[in-house]
Amino acid sequence: MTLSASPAPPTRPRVSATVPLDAVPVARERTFSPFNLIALLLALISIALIVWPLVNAFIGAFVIDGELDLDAFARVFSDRQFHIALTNTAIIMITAGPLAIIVGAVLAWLNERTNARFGWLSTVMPIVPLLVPSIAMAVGWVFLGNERAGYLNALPRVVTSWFGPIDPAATGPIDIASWGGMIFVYTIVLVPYVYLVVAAALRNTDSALEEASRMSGAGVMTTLMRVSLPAVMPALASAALLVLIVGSSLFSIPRTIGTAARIDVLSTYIVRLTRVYPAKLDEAMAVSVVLLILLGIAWWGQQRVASRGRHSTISGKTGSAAIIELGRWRPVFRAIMIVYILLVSVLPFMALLFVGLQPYWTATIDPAVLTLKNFEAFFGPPGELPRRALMTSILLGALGATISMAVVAVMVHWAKERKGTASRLVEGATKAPGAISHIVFGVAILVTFAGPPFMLSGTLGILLIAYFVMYLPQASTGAEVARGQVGNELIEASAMSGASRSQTFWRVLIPLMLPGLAAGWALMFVVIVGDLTASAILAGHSNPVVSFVFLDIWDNGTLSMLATLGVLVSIVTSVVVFAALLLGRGSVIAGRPGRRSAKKGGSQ
Amino acid sequence: MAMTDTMPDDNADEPALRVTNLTKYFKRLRGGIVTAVNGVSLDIVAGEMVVILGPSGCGKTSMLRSIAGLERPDKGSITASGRVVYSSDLGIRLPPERRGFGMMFQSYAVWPHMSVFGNVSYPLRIKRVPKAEVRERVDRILGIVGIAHLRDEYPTQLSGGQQQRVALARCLVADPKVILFDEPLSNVDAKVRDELRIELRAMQRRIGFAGIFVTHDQEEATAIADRIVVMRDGDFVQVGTPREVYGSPASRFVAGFLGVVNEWSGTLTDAETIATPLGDLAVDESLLPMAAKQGDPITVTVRPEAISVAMSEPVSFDGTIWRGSAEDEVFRGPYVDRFVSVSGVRVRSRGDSVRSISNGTEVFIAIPRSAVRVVEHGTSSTLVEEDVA
Repeated sequence: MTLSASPAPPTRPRVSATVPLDAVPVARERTFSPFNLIALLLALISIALIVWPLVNAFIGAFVIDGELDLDAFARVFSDRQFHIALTNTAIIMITAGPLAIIVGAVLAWLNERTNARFGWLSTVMPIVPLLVPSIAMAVGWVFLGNERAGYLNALPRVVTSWFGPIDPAATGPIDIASWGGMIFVYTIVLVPYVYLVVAAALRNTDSALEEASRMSGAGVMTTLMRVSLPAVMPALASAALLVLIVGSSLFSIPRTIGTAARIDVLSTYIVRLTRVYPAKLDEAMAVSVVLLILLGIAWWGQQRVASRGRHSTISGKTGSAAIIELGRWRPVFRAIMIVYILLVSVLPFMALLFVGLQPYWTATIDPAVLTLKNFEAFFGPPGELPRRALMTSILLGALGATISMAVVAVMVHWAKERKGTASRLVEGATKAPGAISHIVFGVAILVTFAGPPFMLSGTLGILLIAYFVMYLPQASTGAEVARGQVGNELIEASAMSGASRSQTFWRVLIPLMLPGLAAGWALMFVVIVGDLTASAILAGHSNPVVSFVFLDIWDNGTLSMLATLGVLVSIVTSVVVFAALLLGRGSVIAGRPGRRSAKKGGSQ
Repeated sequence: MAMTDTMPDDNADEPALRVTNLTKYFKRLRGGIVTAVNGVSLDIVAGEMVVILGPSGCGKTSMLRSIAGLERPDKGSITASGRVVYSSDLGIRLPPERRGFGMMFQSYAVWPHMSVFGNVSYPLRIKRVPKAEVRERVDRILGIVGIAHLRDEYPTQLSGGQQQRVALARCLVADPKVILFDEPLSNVDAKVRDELRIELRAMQRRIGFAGIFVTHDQEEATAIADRIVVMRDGDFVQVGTPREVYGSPASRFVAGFLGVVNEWSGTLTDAETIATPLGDLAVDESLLPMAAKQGDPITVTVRPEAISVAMSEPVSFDGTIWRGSAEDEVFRGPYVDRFVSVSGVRVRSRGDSVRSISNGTEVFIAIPRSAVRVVEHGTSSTLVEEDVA
């Protein structure tokens, strides 16, 4: 039944109704907003920057004179080194991969769900591994675990020296340059990726599920294995995929520890193909295709797990999750968390610091010979290249983070407002790079932009493009979190106050998103400064960045200078991260007097 | 002295807001289409407050947001004082910021990064009103809503009620002809809600805007409305003054949704009597549907407050008197809900809370003839006692 309110109005607007001059037909109004136009352009440019280099690189490698030429594959497949690299990669992934998943999932569960939490230490847990860039950490572990002069090996020898003379040729018990060492370092580097995904899923899962299990008589461990982890199964699956993608293109560990251990993997194999003269880019692309196909299969498996609906237990916003009491096991679990933090950042940093403070690297630390000479050298003539690299990296980090965050903030807001096609477009643009190996991107960007017509070889521009594209997923996650913390009605209230889309964006949305954007910015800064994969392929002496110089010194220079650079980079990234954390934690606009902390969006 | 001199402005006799045949569909995730708003029409004149009342999912919020321009309707037209802001026929859809309406949201939607002054002055600053005028108008409106002393505070320091006043000031400051209210009082506590309701009415009388107020709270609806529109499944099921809608509900749904009713079904035995399982019930012939005839199944409702309970049989009473036994009593402060069992059926009455009747006591209940409302006629239905609080 339809009933109209009196007086019965005519079915069509009365003739006397005036059509305002500023009224525009619906069809035109959709595309006319300048904000929408800019967002659409940004999304298209981003997609172009992702798709075009890949397509271009494939065509360049395999289409010669208009005909498909798969000769590069034949050359690669007949290369014994390729088989070794492929096998080694597989061995590492099936050992370090599951280890990282277990450790990451357990740490996430401890931190999100149990009373093993440590207050601020738990808050910074996910970002601690970022404080020391992965190349610096790998080098730090060389200093710790070298079979002759590693600090971890020296320590027990100091103890035995109390009972007798030291054998100067003593080795072990640890040798980082071994299969065990490789797998160990791969594991601790991959753990944070698992941690972030699983922790987010646990945070969104109703803790009533766990409480129901406890009330049904299940213990803590049974609940963890039977309820908590199965409930986040899709998250575990995507964490596994992420581990594969990141792990297979990880370059820092195989390039440093791997070289010493003579273990070659796919990432070092591909980069070597791009660095030889003349470069064998077609072969590099052929290996990249193999890698993409393998990862594609893994992606397909992950999608199957994710699409099984019965794991969808996420109940939206719940209150604070109930905390599980661990009882007498609590100190044990807390120790596990502390050990992880020590292994992943504190110990490698200390090792770098000690080597940096010594005239040359020795296993024993004699306070009498500690010197600041290396740091003085860094700021003097011998440190010219590393100093320039540090400045370049900081500049690129700041520039890249700012550009990325600005672009994704516009795109994410646009996608959320317009839904439908817009959101699919943005989803594709921002999430696709996460599924593609960084090594492959690096090669594709080198092939596309290094030569004519762009001639970007050896410029900051080519690095900036690579960083922007490769780290779009990280940037968009930061922006999505920030956008999610701003309620829709706050945006609508601005429109109802007469503000246009752009006015709303600048005057309401951006100020409210600022803490989240700051956190995202810090993350971007750190990953760009710490980036090795793109840098190893795209950087040179004309555009040196930290990671490139690291490798340069690793190959030809003095280890003390290497350690000094590692220490300084770690300090820079740590300062940026903590500054962003403080900014994000305080009021919406820091420094406003008498403001309580922003209360929008309790969880972070 | 020509007639043309006094010709009224084209827009003067146009209602402040006219909604015509407004229709909005929603696509379900897995195919299928839901009609959220089903071709409804409504005129609202300046100074009038229309409350859209209905259960959640009835389409009231979709309708309001379509009027605001925050959602996109599929058909119909919306004009504001004769100016077309939406028309599917003419292909016009103004974005919300160009419709010139004010809106109050359920969540206050007060921006935490702006002071009270910043929030309230925002609509004027967007319009580039000169600074001095902004200050003057904001201060005046803050005075009107009673938060002049909070001018430089930040929203996180304010209580819910104060934040809602900021939101109200923000939508009043630009002097809109139409203000949309999306359950704005459901997040503030009961006492403040009462206070704000009364003030809102007073302010409307003083300023004269046309208001549409969406709520699912029938008490709020009757307190604030000039007219109530009861909505269900995208349709208007009844439109009228609060007194009309409450007193003469057009259907079982409306009767049940606005307050509590006793509902009985029976058969019409003669022009003034319905045979129900509880006994014969006397009705007013004039309240029966025209087409009603003997033997028709018929459903009636009676408000509990119309039913009185007495210890002794009342004499010369124009209506029905049934004998029953007191079953239960719920003390509600100013009144008491009393349940009386009549032939095994619970009858709910509402009376003063002065005296108490102990359970099991034999009592008489009296139902005036004029209190019996026919809500359904011609279909047989089972006996239900509906209790929609």
